[in-house]
Order: sequence, then C-alpha cells, then structure tokens
Amino acid sequence: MQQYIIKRILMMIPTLFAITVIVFGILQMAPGKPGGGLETDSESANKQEGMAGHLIFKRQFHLDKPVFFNFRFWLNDDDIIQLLDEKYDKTKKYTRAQKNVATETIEDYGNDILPNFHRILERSDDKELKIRILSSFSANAARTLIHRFGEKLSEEERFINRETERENRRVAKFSYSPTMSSAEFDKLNFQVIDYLRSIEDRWNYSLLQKMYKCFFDTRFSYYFYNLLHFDFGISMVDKQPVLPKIMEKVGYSILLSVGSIILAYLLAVPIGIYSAVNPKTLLDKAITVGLFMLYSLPTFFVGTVLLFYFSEGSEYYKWFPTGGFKSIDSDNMTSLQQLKDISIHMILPLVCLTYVSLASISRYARTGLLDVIHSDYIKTARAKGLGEWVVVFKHAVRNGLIPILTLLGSVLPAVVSGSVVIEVIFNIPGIGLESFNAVITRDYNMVMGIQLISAVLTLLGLLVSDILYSIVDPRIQYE
Amino acid sequence: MKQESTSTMIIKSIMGIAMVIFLGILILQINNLEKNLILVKVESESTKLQLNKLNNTLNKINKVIKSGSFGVSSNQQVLSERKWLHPEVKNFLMGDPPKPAPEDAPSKGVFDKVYSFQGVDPKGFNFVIENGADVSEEIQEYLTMYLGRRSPNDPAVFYGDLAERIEITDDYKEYTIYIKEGVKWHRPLLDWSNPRYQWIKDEYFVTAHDVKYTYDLIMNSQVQASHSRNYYKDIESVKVLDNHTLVIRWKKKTYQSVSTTMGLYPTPKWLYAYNEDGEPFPEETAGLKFNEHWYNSKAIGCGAYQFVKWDKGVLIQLRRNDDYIGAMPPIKQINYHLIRDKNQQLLNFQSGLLDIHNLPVAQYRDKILDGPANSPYKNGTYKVEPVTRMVYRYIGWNLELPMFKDKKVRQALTHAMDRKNVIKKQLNGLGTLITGNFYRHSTAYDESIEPWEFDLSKSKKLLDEAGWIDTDGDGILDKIINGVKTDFKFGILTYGYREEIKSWVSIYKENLYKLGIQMEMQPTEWSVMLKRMEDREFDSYTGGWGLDFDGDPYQIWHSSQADLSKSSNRIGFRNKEADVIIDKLRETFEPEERVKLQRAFHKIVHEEQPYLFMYNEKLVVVTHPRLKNVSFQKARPHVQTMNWYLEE
Repeated sequence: MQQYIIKRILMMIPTLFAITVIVFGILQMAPGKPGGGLETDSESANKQEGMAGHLIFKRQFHLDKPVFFNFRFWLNDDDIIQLLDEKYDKTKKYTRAQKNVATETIEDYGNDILPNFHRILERSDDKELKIRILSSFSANAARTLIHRFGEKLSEEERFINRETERENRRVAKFSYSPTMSSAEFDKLNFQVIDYLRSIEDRWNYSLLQKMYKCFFDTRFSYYFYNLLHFDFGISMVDKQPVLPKIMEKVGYSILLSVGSIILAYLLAVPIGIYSAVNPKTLLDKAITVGLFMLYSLPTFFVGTVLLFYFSEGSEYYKWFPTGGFKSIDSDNMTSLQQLKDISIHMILPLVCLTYVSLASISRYARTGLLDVIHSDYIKTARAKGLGEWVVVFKHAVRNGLIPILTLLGSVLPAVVSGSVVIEVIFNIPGIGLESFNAVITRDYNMVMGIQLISAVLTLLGLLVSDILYSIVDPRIQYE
Repeated sequence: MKQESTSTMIIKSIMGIAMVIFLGILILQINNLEKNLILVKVESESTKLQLNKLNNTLNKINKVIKSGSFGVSSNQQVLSERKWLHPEVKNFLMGDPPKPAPEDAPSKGVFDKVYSFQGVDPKGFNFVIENGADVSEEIQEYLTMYLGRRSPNDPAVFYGDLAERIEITDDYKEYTIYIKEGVKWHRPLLDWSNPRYQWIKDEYFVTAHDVKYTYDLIMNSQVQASHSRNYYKDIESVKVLDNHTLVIRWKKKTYQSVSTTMGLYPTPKWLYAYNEDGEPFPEETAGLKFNEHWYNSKAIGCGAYQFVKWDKGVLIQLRRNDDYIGAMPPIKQINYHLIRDKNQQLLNFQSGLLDIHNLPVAQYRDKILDGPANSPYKNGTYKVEPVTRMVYRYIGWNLELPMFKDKKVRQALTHAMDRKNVIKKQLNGLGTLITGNFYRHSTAYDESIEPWEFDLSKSKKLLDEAGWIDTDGDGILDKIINGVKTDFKFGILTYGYREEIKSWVSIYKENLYKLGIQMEMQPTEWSVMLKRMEDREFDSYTGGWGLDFDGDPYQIWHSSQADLSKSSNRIGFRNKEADVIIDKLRETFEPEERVKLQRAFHKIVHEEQPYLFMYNEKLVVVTHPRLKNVSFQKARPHVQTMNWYLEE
C-alpha cells in the first residue's frame, strides 16, 4: 500500500509537468490582449495606451519571447525585409492586421534582429530599406535591464544595468527622422554600422549557447523556472503576487463548498437510503420528482428569488443579510459573534449550492444500495433473523455507498474552483469570480496559478478516493 | 465485546456532561474576555486620534510662539509674505469653488456607495500608472489636490485647489504656478509599530518638487504611463523655482495645455522613490521599480480624504483628513462597496446599507414606471434624480469597406434607425438624442441641426441613388463593386455590458432586413473586440465614448489618427475640412470662436454620418432621505460629495 502511494505521488510529477505545458500552450493561443481591463461601460478617447507602454509590459512578462522554443539566432534576412515591408507599408498592399503583426514581431525580436540589420545595412544599397531599418533601429537596439519583482539587485548586476543604460542612451540617439538631409542620413548610417560592428561578437553563439537560448530563453522556461521555486509570478493586471491573492480568495470558496458538500451528503444519503429501502413507493416517486424539479431550477434564478423574498433589502421577509461574506463591522466582534455573523450570511448561498446536488447524490446512494440490497448476503442476514435496521445500516449501507466515495474524490477540485454564479449573486469575493475575471482580462499568471492548484488537487483527490476505496472495501487492494 | 457495568456507564456519561458544561463555560468566558479586549482596542484608538490632534495643536501653538506673531492668523501672514513674480498678470484661477456645506451641517456619518457603480476592484491606486476612470473619478478625486479644478457652476473656468495662483503668459506658453503652503501629505498606511518603517515616520509637506516628480514619472519611458505621456509631451520644461513655485513652459500654444496643466497633481517622492526598507531605487531601474512599487495597492495623497482600507472584493474605505487645507467636507467616512450584481446593489440600497444607487434601465422600469404608487421610490421617500452623463452611444461604420464609403449609404442607414422610439421604449426615456459628437447640454452642440428622421422610404431612395438594388430578387440588395457582385451584408460587433444596447441593435436588424440589408449580430468579448478594432477587422460595432469637458475631437476624428493602429479613430475617418477645424480648435482660446468651430465640425459629422450617433445616456440616481444637500456636477465626475451631509 505504502509503495503504491509513493508510486502514485511520483507519477504526479510528470503528469503535472504535462498539465503545465498544455495549459500554458492553450492560454498563449487565446485571442485578445493579455492584462487588459474588464470591459467598460464607456471608454475615454484620450486615455489610449501608447506603443511604448505596451513594450515595457511585454518585457516585464516575457511576452516578447517565443512560447516554447527560441530559434531567433537563425532569423533570415529575407524574412526581415518582408516584415519591414509590411510594417512600413503605405500602399495598402497588406491588411492592417498584417501590418500590426509585422510591427509587433519586429518589436518582439528586440536585440536578436540586430545581426540581420547589420548584414542588410552592410550589403544592401536600397536606400528605402535602410531608412526602414534605421527607423526601427533605436527601439530594437535598446537592451533590457536586469529587473526582478520586489528583489534587490547585487552590486554586479547594478553595474551591468548602469552600463546597459549608458549604451541605451547612446543607441537612443541613432534615430532617423524624415527631415534629415542626405549627408545626415549617411552619417547616421555610418554611426549605426560602426556601432553594430563594435558589438558584433555578441551574436557569435557557440552550439551550447544556442541550445541554451533555444530551450531557456522562452516564455515557458521563464515561467517554469519561477514555478520550481513555488513562485507563481505576479498578476498581469494589478502587478501583485498571484499566490497570496489566490489564497486570500480561496478561503471563502472552500468554506462555501465544503459546507455545501457536507450539507448535501447529510441530506441526500438518508433520502437515498430511504428510497432504496422503500423502492417504488409513492413517497419514493414523489421524492424523485421533487428532487429533479429542484435539480432543473437554475441557481441564478433561485438565488435571486431567495434574495428578493428573504433578504434585508426585500419588501417581504427581512430574515437574512442581503449578501456578502460577513458584516462590515465584524472586525469589532468577538469570535462567537463572528461565527454567528458568517453563518447567517452563508445560509442562503448554501441553500442555493446544495439543492442542486441533492438529486444526483441521493440517486447515487439509491442505486448503490439497491444493487446491494438484493444480493445473497443480505438475504442471509435477514434469514439470520436480524432486524431490518441492522440489516440495512450494518450490512447494506457499508457496501452500497462505495460509489458515493468516488464522487467525494472528484469533488475536491470543485472546492477550490468556486461558483461564479453564486459568488456574483451573493456578492462573495471568492475564487470563482476571481478566476472568471482572470480569464476575461487574460491574466495569464493568475489563470495558470488557479489551474495548477486545481490540477494538484484533482490528482490528490483521485488518490484519496482510491485509498478510501481500499479502506471501505478490504477486497480492493493495490499492488 | 465485554459488557460494561452500569456504574462505569453512569460515571462516563456524567464526566461527558461535565466536560461539555466546562467547555461551554470556557467559551463564554473567552467570549467575554474578547469583548473587553475589543472595547479596549476601540478606546485606545480614539485616544490615539485625540492625542494626535492635541499634538498638532501644540505644534501650531509652538510655531506661533516661536515666530512671536500673536494675534495674526498664520494664514494671513503667509499671504502677505508671498511675492508674485508677475503681479501685473491676472490670477488665472478665477472660478468659484464649490459652495461649502451649510455651517450647521452635522460633521459626521459614513457615506456608503458602490464603487464606480460597477463594483469591480480597481487594478491599484498608483495614480500615475492607473488609467481607469474609476480610480481617477472615485479615489483620486477625493485623495489628491490638483493644481486647479473646474468650477462646478461654470466648468469652463478653474478654481485653485493645490495652486493658489497661476500666471499665464498671453501666448499660453508659460505657466507660473504658486502652490499653497502648509499642505500636508497623508500619513502612509503602515504598521507603525514595525521598526522597518521608521525611515518614513516624519511628517511631509507638499512641495513644487512633488508636482515636478509627477511630470518626470509620466515622461520616464520605463514607467507604464504612456496613456498620459501623449498629453505632456508638448511640455518643454518644468522648472522648480522654490519649494512652492514652479514654471511650466509649453513648446507651442495649444488649448489642451490649460486642462493638462490644471490636471497635474503632486506625487510623494519621499515614498515612491524608495523601497520598503527606505533605500532609494537604483536610478537606472527606478521607473521599472515604480511600476511595481510596494505601496501601489494603497493610495496616498494630500486631499480631503485619506485612504484607510482596501479589502479586496469587499470594500474600499476613505476617511476624512483632519489636516485638509480646503473647506472641510461634512461626511466623515466614505465606504465603497464592491458589489458587482445589479440586483445586489438594489437590495443593499433598499436594506439601507447604501446611500445612493444608480438604477439601470430594467430596474427603472420596475421601480419607477411600473412600481406601485406607495413604494418609497414614488412616495417621495427616496430622492430620484436623472443625471445626463457625458457619455454617448453610437454605431461605428468601418469607412474603409467599400459598402460604407458612400455618404448616401450611411445617411440611409441612419434613416433606418428609429432613435426616438429606441429612447422611448428600450431606454424608457433615459437618453437624449444626439446628432453629433458633442455633449447635448454644452455650447458646442448645435441645436439647430435636425436629426435624420426615421423613414425607411428615404433610406430606400438613398440606397437606390447609391446603386444598391436587388437585381437577383433574393431579397438582399446588391451592387457591383470592383467588378464583383456584392450583397449588402455586414456584421456588427457588440459587447455585453449593457442589455439595452443589444435590444436596440436587434430592432435595427429588423428594420434593415425590411430594406434588404442583412446585418449579423456578433457578440464579442471585450478584449477580442479591442484587438479586432486595432486591426480594423470589423464591419461595424457599437461603442460608447466618455466625453471630457474640452470636447477635443482630435483623437477620434483627425485623419492623422486614422493610420495609427492603437488610435481612437477606429473607423478610419478622413476629412480634410474636418482636419482644418480640429487643428484650428487646438489653437483657439476665444470661447465664441471655439463654439463657431465646434458647430462647424458638428455639421460635418452630421452630414457625413461616420457614426450613427445615438444618444447621451441618462443616469437615474436614487438617494436615501438621510443624505442632504445632494447636487450633481455638470462635468465628470457627476457624483461628488464634498458638500453633501448625512442626517440620522
């Protein structure tokens, strides 16, 4: 058994890696811009984001790097010329989307494009092409400063940064303007070539360096490197570390879902047992119909109705608070009062979360038990002269409820994922709403964080339910 | 199993009961203890506040004693001491400040409202980086002092907020700004018992350097403030003469220089240039560090309210700043609740938690139009007031598509929209029809322009003239464009925020169908929609622009913006005549001349119909009876509570 558990846990590592790769890949394919705002009610014309700001943002989150593999040491001159053609297209030969893509691509290439620029400038005598290169040059030649979130840099790194900054300032002066005379243009051209020659050997990668760049200078490897340190990165929206934010929100959701699971089992299992013991009676049928009617009522509807009839803001029965997780002045309450305060806030959301799952759990319990109740050993037990209660609870229930344990295992990830609908309707600041917002705003790090945590929990949940199996039913053994 | 004897059973159960009772007593006692502790905590906090006040007064008295000037109030003394560099120039800050609350207004109370009416958490509170209207209109409005603000009665003139006097040269290129003396920064919200924050313990005063620091940050290419950089890039220099005087020189004469300069605010360098341990950031990466500064999830300023708490997803709290230099607002505390769901907002208003609520169209119909006469909404308990927002809704046509290139087609499309009925039925009257890009209640708006009326026969005629005829009898208009027979079919991007927009778009679809035009609704997610507009990959879309008071048409309508991918001229509007007017408007200061130009511009967009202009939206604001002296500002933000007060 122990061996089995250890094996399972070890197997989780490659599984998790695969999950990370897949989720990361899918996220990067999602259309739309990362880190944008939630949709607004109206926009302001004058507050549009400029290009420069976007570049800083991209560099901060390595969005300018390729996703999995980096082959930018093999950039082709002809491709670059083509990209420049698209970027500076004035004849409308290309669509605006192509133009935007070309602009972004050149921007993303950053320093890696410089060898190509160098070659083209040295060899070509197409003035138009040179102008294009010189117009892009200062933006591309600017080097990234060493910078990590919330960390202090070492003296050595600061020294490198200062050098880089000095070089960047020099490079920034190499900018082309259309008003330049041809002599000025030639001078600029000469200066740029001179500069490129002086830094030429930066691009003479050895094979090892190329391998390194190919695998490790990518979006994924930067992310994964941080992940190995249990660092989920910072949110692209509010620039705060992701993990504490998730932990803060997940508490609310866990309380809600654990509460509702316990409540659901407490109610549904007895109902299921009753139905199994008295199958096809009128009451059994009524229960089935009733539960399925509940099951088919959407929670957003029931939630709203409950609020409009039973909350403090309603015009009818002001029994429960209108929403939220606790009262605003709960800071000045004693623990008992806080407990009472939170419980009373939780009643309506719990009702909403629970009634839906009653149907399925009680049906599982019913069928599980029905299978068992007709088996031979139950007949034997009855024949032995045991009372009906003893037969059902001691002999039947223990075996009949194994299927329900499977459910329990699959419920664990749902505990952290929360429920968007309930959280919005009852205004509970849980993880469901947070992950929904993260998807809408393309907050990659946040989405990754939530997904990975729920992946780990899913794997753990499966393991736990397997172990529970063998505890409940000694016949099931793992080698 | 061995049978237990009865006596052990009894003993066991007695012990069990005793344990339970004991536990119960323990819990009760701990509870009592906790109660007392909380009482002590509350008391000690209030004592601390009082001590602070006492300390302040003592300091003031000390100062007066030291300076030896009894009898003269310190403020007057400062005024007489200050020297103006150009005393002959009239003070630019001539506007009337808002009327202060009545003197007998009770100075207390907590004002509860939903954060920016949408109840979504802001990204952060670093005013230089955050560009959301929510942060600037809700938090920054109360927390910072701008150099000057628009007068509530006449938004065209400014009154002094942080600045006490501004001298402007005749060519509007040089602004000499005198900021008020003795304006204190709020204390940062930190755990002062932690020795880590000893370095920041002092009291700080706002200086001209702080104002320049804001400008420096915006212009620093490492700082993510490029949304504001466009505005300040025409500044030639910002020079600090002394602690309370600075001179801003503009490269050229532009009308926007006024509002941009007035909109400057101080940023505390003593906080933002340092890491949490008080070490200055290395100069080369200071901008990058600023973007993720450790204080970004809290806010700081020098204005009437100070930031107290941000409980994510729950609450943002501001408290009145007792050191505020301007007219003290009566309301002591502002609670912004983060409530996303509109029904939750309504119920929380009805339960009395919120003091103010914004009724969306559906709730307006339920509560006001169809509600029973004795409901608090209609019997006068709640005060209901419609406020016209400086926002307009429109449909934008992609002018680079051949089908929308013809002016006649666009006019025909406008004739097919029954705007009057949309406002009456879909909006329940909560809108004002507009014919152009300006705010309906501003002087720029030309009332003499008659809106294109709803008339399908006129549409038909115009479409005929433009060459759109159903030649193959399939019920859809077609036309030969570049040798290819093209059907009149297009898509319209809509996004989800407002229900009523979807409903009027579908009515419009029916009307177009009658004309033989097929419009396909394409509900799109916001971030995808933005991307598609950047790439100009759309046929048409629904949108809403928030207007500022200047009403500068440059960003949306100038042809130079049509080629930039991230510009607001998404539809590709190019009009030489309009360009001339826009450029001229940017250099014209004379109000009457401006109105003339603006109206000429209005006429062009009405004639050209690059947008199908719909309406200025109305906000229905309901307030609780305990809220007094409620009035709404003409310019944004419409809700501003500085002179409101609360009565129990």
